[in-house]
Amino acid sequence: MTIDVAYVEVAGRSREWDQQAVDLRAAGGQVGGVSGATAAFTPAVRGAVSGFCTAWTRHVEELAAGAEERADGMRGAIRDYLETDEASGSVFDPAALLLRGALEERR
Amino acid sequence: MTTIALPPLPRTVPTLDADPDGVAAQAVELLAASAQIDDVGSFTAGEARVDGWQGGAGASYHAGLPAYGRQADAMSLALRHVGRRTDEHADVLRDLEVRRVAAEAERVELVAKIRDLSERVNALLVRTRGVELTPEAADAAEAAAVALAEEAGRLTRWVQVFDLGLDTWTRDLLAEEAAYAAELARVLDLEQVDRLYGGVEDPADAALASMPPPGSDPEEVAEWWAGLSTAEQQAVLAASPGSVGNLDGVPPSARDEANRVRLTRDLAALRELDDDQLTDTERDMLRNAEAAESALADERTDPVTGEPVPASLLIYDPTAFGGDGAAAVAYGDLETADHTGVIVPGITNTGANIDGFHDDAWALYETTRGSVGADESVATVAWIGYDAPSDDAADMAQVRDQDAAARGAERLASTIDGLRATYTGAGETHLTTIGHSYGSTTVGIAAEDHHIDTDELVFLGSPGDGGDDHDAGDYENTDRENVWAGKDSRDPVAVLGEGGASLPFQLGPFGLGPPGLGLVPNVDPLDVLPNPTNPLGPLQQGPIDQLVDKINPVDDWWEDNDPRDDLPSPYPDSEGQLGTDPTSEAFGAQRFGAERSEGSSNPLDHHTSYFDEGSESLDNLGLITGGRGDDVERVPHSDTGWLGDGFDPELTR
Repeated sequence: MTIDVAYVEVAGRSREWDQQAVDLRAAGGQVGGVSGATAAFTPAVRGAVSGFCTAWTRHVEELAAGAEERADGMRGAIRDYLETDEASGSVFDPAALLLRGALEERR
Repeated sequence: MTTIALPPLPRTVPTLDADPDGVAAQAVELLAASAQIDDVGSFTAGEARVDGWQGGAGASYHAGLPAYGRQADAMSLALRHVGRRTDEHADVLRDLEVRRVAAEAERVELVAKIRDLSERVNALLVRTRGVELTPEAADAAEAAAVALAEEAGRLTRWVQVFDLGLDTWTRDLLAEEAAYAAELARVLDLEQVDRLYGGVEDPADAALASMPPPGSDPEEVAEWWAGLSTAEQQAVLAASPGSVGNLDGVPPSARDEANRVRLTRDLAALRELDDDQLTDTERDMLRNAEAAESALADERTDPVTGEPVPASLLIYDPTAFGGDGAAAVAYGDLETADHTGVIVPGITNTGANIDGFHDDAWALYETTRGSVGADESVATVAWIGYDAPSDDAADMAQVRDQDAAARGAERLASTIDGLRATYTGAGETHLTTIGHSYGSTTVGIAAEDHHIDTDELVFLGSPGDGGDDHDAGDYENTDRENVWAGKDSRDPVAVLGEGGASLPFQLGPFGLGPPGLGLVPNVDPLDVLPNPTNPLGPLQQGPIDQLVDKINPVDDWWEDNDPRDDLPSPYPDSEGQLGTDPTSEAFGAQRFGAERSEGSSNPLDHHTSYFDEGSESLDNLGLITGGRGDDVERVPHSDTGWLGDGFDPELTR
């Protein structure tokens, strides 16, 4: 029994989606930070700036959540695969070990 | 008698409750966030695919990618638009503030004139009211009244125009506020975003596709950039700042904008993580990014105009050179400055050192401003654009040869070509390239092998000129009269080049010992140095121990404090490995005064003080950079002392 190499690639991609999620959360933080700096704007537009940033922080966080969902979905697919008959006989295959490691979300 | 209608006082000038620079800073945050989202869109369209992933899960995953990518791309374009509009908003606010300040000054002048008129009218009244005037006096009073009435009329019309100006100012502010708020409102929710930007091609894509290949001549890059529309340029800066921020041939102002977007994005992304989550690579990146951030944060004021001099980020790559990082910070406008100075540092400098090294560029800027006319402009650059041997032992081993300098020379040549290609001022800028320490070896190779187009070439505290041809008169683009060399006679690094004064007599312990230890008398070198009538012994090329043995009180100190011990261990331990001493007669450069005013207990201070405020070295560098070579203090070459070529005559000055 050998591991389907596509799942090794899936594992790598799940990590990249994790990174995209981190970067997007940072981007959301940047937009949110503008909301905290509205004093730089004239009083007449501060409300508009604040409203825009509140809405966009949410939009970007949702996009980050979408990236995270993809990473989680890929890990779920790997987990399902490892539980199939095809992969179960490859417990000591290095690729299988790698895939099991990928089930854990870490940097 | 003529009636005089005094003009009304002009209206008070309204305040502008805003911080345009603060608004511009928020624009950079929004652009950086849009760049991040753009990256996600690109990832989704490309690397995110796993083509071999079959089955339901794979099919479901791939089916969801286009919609997600479309949303990311649309959001990126929308946020980029808002970021750009916010930057424009900052410009409009700046302009309004300039107009407002001018109006305040005008109002002060107008009020003063009205008060003066009022006083003169009152004086006329006092002189004439209830007084029996002679016919001549009455005629004179009438004539004065007519003149005052005419003046009052002129001032009244001025007040009317002034007040109309205030109305216009207020209308402009309100219109801008309304327009800006409307721009925010049109992309408030994602339906609006998709309607306006969903599926819209990013103008950056075509522009980037037409970019000259890596390694292209900066002239070619400059032509490419100039051929893009403003919209395309702005799109590239926001979508792919890393592509153009360090690209020689792109104008420095655009590079600064791109690099600030990249820096802002990096800082946000890296600070999103806790320290224990950072990889080693990310930790290096964060260190380099924070150094650049800190360097840019310093506020500088032009010593002549009193105006702020913003720093710009000419190079920013926190991942370059295996994590050492590359950075260059500039002061002044590199695209128009009459005089430009580029400083190249030596070993141990990495991107993390830009916060600190940028002070040298500022010191050069300030001093050069003082050496040129008030109408001449200056720009300076602190350039860490090459992989200088740094603290890592393996890396430092490169100091023994010229390879790292040679690689750096190629990069330096490209940077200078880029500055030349993007210059838009009258004629050409007067350009000075200054290499300090190992950086001077880099500069020498750049001049010899790459023929850098520099008007002045300066070797400072140099361990050697680098390359194969060791004659200041042989550079293709710089005349001997414009090749300069400066060194402190006690600089332990600057004696490593071949042909100059040798180390022992340069570094005699005289006066260098730490005061108070009792081992080293704090004496003037001239008091103990040999002289022709009472020599201490053979002086030419003697080993250091020979000299030390003759000065017993300092023997122990010297053995424990050989300045070469303070140098990184792999530093050349014999002369000439990095070339000729540029202050030697054989090299034939113009040697200028660069003595540190006071001795130091740490010999390396004599190597690191060339940019100290008020030093003769910095004064001369300012004159050279400002094109005032005739005023530079020239001193004898280091191997022309009266005791032979082992003795630097500057030690006796």
